[in-house]
Amino acid sequence: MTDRGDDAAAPPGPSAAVDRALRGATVLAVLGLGAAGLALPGAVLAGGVAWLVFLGFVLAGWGAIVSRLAGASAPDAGLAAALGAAGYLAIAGVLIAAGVLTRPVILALIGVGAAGFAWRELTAPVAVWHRIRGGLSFIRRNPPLAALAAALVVLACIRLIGAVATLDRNPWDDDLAYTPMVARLLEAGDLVEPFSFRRLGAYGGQTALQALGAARGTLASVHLVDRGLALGIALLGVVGHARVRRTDPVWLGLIALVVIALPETAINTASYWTGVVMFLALYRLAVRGDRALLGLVAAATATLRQNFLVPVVVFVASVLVFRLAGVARELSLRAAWRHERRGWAMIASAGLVAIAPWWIAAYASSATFLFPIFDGTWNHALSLQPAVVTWPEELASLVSSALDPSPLAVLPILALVVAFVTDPRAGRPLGALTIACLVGFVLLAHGLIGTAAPHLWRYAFGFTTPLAIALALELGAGAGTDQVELAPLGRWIVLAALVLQLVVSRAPAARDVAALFDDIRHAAAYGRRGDPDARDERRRYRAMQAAVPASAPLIVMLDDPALLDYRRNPIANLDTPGFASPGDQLPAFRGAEPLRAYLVAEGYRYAAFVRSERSRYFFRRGHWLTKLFADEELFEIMAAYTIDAIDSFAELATTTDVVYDADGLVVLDLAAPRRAASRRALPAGEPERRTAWTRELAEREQLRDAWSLATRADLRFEDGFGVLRFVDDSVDDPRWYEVSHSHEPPKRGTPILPMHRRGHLRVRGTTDMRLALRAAISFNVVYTHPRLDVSLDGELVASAVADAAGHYAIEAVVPRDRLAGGWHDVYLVFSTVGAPDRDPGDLRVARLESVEWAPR
Amino acid sequence: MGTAVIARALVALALALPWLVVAPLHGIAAAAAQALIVVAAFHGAGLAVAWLAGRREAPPFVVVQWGIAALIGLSGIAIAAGAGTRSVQLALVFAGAAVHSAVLAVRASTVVQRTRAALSAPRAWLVPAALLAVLGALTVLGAAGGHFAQPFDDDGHLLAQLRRVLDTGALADPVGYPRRGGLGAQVALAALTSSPGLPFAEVVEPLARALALGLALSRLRIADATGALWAALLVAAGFGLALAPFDPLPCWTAVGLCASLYALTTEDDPPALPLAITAGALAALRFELAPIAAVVVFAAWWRRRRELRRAAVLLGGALAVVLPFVLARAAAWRSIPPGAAAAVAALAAAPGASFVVRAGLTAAIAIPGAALLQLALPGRELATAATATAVALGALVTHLAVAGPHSVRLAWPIAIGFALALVIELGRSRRSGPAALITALALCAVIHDGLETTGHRRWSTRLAAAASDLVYVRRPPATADPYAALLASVPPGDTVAVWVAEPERIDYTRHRIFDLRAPGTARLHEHLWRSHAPAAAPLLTELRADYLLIEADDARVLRTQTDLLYRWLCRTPRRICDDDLESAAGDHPIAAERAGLRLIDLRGGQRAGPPGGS
Repeated sequence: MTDRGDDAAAPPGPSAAVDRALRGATVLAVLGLGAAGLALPGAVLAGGVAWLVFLGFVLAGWGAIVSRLAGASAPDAGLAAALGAAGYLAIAGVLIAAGVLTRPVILALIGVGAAGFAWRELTAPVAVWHRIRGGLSFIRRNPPLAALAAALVVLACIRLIGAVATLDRNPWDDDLAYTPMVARLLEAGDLVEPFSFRRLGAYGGQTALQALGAARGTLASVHLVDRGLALGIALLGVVGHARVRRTDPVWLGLIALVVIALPETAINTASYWTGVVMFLALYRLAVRGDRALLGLVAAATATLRQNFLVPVVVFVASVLVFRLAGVARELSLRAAWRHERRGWAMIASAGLVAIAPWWIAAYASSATFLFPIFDGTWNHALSLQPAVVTWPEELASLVSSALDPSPLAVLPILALVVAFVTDPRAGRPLGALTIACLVGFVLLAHGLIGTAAPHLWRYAFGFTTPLAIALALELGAGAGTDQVELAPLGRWIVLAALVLQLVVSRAPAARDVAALFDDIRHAAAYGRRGDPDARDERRRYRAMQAAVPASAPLIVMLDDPALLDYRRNPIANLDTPGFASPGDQLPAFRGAEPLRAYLVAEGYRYAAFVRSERSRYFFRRGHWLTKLFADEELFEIMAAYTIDAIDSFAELATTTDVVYDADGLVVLDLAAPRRAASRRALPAGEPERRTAWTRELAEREQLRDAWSLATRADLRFEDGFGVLRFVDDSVDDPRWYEVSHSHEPPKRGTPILPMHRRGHLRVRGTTDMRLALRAAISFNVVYTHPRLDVSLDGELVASAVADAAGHYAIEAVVPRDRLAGGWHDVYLVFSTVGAPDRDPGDLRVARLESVEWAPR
Repeated sequence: MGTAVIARALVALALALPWLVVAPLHGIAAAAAQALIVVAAFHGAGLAVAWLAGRREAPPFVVVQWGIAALIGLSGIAIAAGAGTRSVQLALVFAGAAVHSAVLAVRASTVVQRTRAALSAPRAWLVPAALLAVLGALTVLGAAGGHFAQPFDDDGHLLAQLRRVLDTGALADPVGYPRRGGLGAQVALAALTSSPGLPFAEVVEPLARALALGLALSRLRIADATGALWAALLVAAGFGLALAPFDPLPCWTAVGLCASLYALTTEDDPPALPLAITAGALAALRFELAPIAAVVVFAAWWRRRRELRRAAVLLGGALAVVLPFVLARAAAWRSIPPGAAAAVAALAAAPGASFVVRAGLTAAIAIPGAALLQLALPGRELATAATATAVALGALVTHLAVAGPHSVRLAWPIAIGFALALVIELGRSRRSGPAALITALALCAVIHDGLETTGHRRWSTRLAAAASDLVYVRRPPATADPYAALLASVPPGDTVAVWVAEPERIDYTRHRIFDLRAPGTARLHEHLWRSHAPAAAPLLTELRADYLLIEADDARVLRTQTDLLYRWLCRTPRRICDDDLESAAGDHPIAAERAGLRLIDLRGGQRAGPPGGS
């Protein structure tokens, strides 16, 4: 099957000379855009937009080369750009593994793409100017449709320009890790970051793509590639597939509008729209039956995000199995396998060739090529899974996140319909994509159990959005033998769902657009000068780095490591202390001296860090102190490691030579201690050490009660509780009207956990344990005076009735023999919260004020 | 060959699985077995009704609704006779399940044949059926570990009444369960479902939802893709519907019965007996549903009004279900002296209007409503359903307008029942006109609303809560028994008036218990500064209560918090600070006291103190 249009004969037109001249002018214009982007690195808007458009042509050029090498029919612009991205990533993987993908090399690769575009433009039957002429002719013939298309193009352009103009970065991910990795790539040519949690969690394909955007000489436009270039390519892919499938303009317009109006789900510069581009390309290649290219694009897609691995593999496997089953219906299974095995081999070999360099690069950096299956530099004592999860809890997490999709809020409705779609094509690409999305999401939810639904869905954005796009385009496809089948009712439901999606998107899209125009205004105001604040910050960082001898290895714990010069020193970025580290692994919760010794042993004589009180975001100690007791379990753990690292470096600054200390930036010479720093004698296992350390910290910080309300090594807060908050005591208990106050919550005061009628704890212990808890019921919420029963594994442990002020104080001893065999369930149950003449408006009826669980 | 084996296995499982309830199972397995035997009992009872009505080939989910109605009727008879104890309810369930298994065994070859036919292609029905099975199982089993935040319906504490009926076999408390909103069929149904062992009061509604949607699926002809799509949409909308009351008000039970009735009305010759008993069960469930039952029975009679036997079956069948509940209610009210009845009635008095005014207003709303619905609907199949819905909604609106505070949520079962019937008819007819499109859009909107709404009604929140509640089914929490020790000192047979938080934990077999903590008598704990006639003391006297068991309540604390004058004056205990119930309690000696509970001996002489109310 070939795409419509590109293989058609050239339309009749002006003479060959004029044609050649116009083609040449097109090439020159594109090269001019590239030149403008390079010449104006400080011009966020003008330079950025020129570079974005240029990169689009460059990737299309790469795509032309790739499809020519694969002997495939000429793809449309969207697919060509996606193939180009895959081809670029295949080459980039080799160069990163070799440690040579520096800015000059990237510019050379861009040059190759530009040459590919020029070659294609000068030799293809249909040139760009032909398409422009065809477009103008279409406008004349179909003014209403043209008006609709023009409106969509304008909306899309606003988003693309906004993506270039948006300079805001996520200080948690982008400033700390993603942008520094781009900087490292441009300057050092590799991605060797053994201390980086983010590096461990991705092969680096997205970094290589981001480097294309930054290669013009600035790291400012961090969203140029994903929100700009990739969104544009995705839209071109949508239009391209609609043309191939002869999709009704109403369906095309609607899905295009849905895509353009999707609320921004990205919170950082990781892969979102690049994932959409690649999964859409995978789907389209499966439809076309281009199996060698399928393997290449599959491998490239897997490099973008670690969680793309599963849906990519499942998609490709499903397509192949469906094809095999289809052929087996005509022939025997053995004959079918003989018929199909070449295709399997082609995909596997193309995929392996493309991904193997990324595996090598990942191994060189993080000692694993398949995280999280193989730990590599990941902290072996740490698990992102809760210590105990039963299947009902896993089920609760899965259903809760599956029914809370974002930004495509109507996905459950579309999923209902997808189940009834019959795809008669070889390989059943739509069915395969559905299965891939399903398996990908379920495994994602399983792997990140307890993670909030919006996060899961943003990880799944790359593969679920193409499913919605493909469904709409296939349902609107023109009549033909390979049309997917669905009852008319199903088509109406999909249309209704898409309209609903537009309604849902309205409010957030309006907010996004307002913010986007603000960004455009700011970018325009910068002119050609760039962000002045960034220049000052870079000066400070460079001054700090100058204190370190050139070529000396340096480990950094800084807000903006991207501002360092990666050519001058081998730099390791401690982006999430304690999560990833090579060798004997970073000693956490043992004191500053073991940390110093470890770093010196690993070859890092110099360490740079930002003082907590001057940290712009990530390394603010107070921020982590709040998170330590009032966040998801993962972040509570992360808080402990980060505070430990902050405190340790602060201590080392008093015990070792400080070679630089200005503006909150500090450089230590770890090999020259003036005296020994602290060592803590704590339990041997790291989880136990962390628990003991956290308790000590809580006591030092006057946060003992807050600590008592946090999950720890021997006590877990499960369902029935809200998030920890502090209530001020300006209103004493007999007068409080709410479980807590709704105004801006204080950071200190009385810590409480809002509690429902029934709360569930899990405990464990190896000796007689004392359980002591304080709680209070809100009379003004429930209008009852209930009894609080505490039971362990279905046996009553203690029971109490609230005092006149609604307070409970329970104390009991649990003998050792009742604690055998690991974790045990403790239920806190109020006898009733119902009153005959009141309806409870809120089930948060009480508050837990402290829970002690300690050896007797 | 493959489908034959699967069909045989499925039939064998359907026959045998319900009896797992007699095995020593625990946790989720026990809850599943109990749910299965209850459904089997519904099916068996329905098969008996179908046999009596000469409709042996009726589809299983239709039969199940007839069975629910029949078992409600039988349970009602037992309750009216004062014999509706756990063992009797269990006998009814076992009898129904025995019929189910026996019929499956006798008709095995036919059933296997039918199952094989369904299993052979096309299998579009698998998607909605799987969706229903998964969501139904999750919500039903989750509910087994759940709890009502608010255990009161409009009449009283449902769990307490359930315990009372299982203990004593009767509903003889007109104070705690006056039955002003309904006749008590919901308690009967809860007693039937709870009789095998586990407390299943919370399970009734999720189970009823699964069965009602199953009925819809069975009528939608889901063998082809269009029908299956309608079915999948309906199941998703049914579970996604942003309706999650904190209390036990029956909704899906009524919806299932309504849908069953409406399905019968679309037939040319609806069988009289199933229609009558289903209508009777509906009327016994809640009073606002009675108009639907009446309209449907009337319409069925009107079609062949000359057939006296049919008229007798219609009337007799409906009355056979309703009358026992009426008699039980009347017996309960007659069991207390007229003075007590008057005192209870005075406490719950609400503004009302004459029957003529109500009927007129209902007609004024219902007639144009019915006309509008019938004009808007395609075809004539739903004419009776539209009329019944319009009359019921008209009566409800009238009630809301003239009869005082009443919740609008009472309209939910009426509206959902009609919507279900509408979707079924649209799906069956395969119409694709505007009505079908609008209905499909509306269902999408319902699903979307469930996905997007906030708080406990959000679909994801509800399903996650159901899954989390499975933890509590696996290992239920233990709770203290607060009342046994105090009531042990009360001589057996004595009358005890109680105002306690957990009346469902009282043993009703030893004493005659009146539950004062009910919506109708909540004013007993109301404090008034102005002089007024005391309500509690006369009521207790009229009830001839020997003891009063009163649990520490927040009423006083609440008053302290909200009334400045009260806080200032009542820092030290004074009689003027007592509400009616406290005042009545204060007049008598405390027989026993522990952990917030006081047992007052009402038999002895009064303590000295100022007379009258505060």
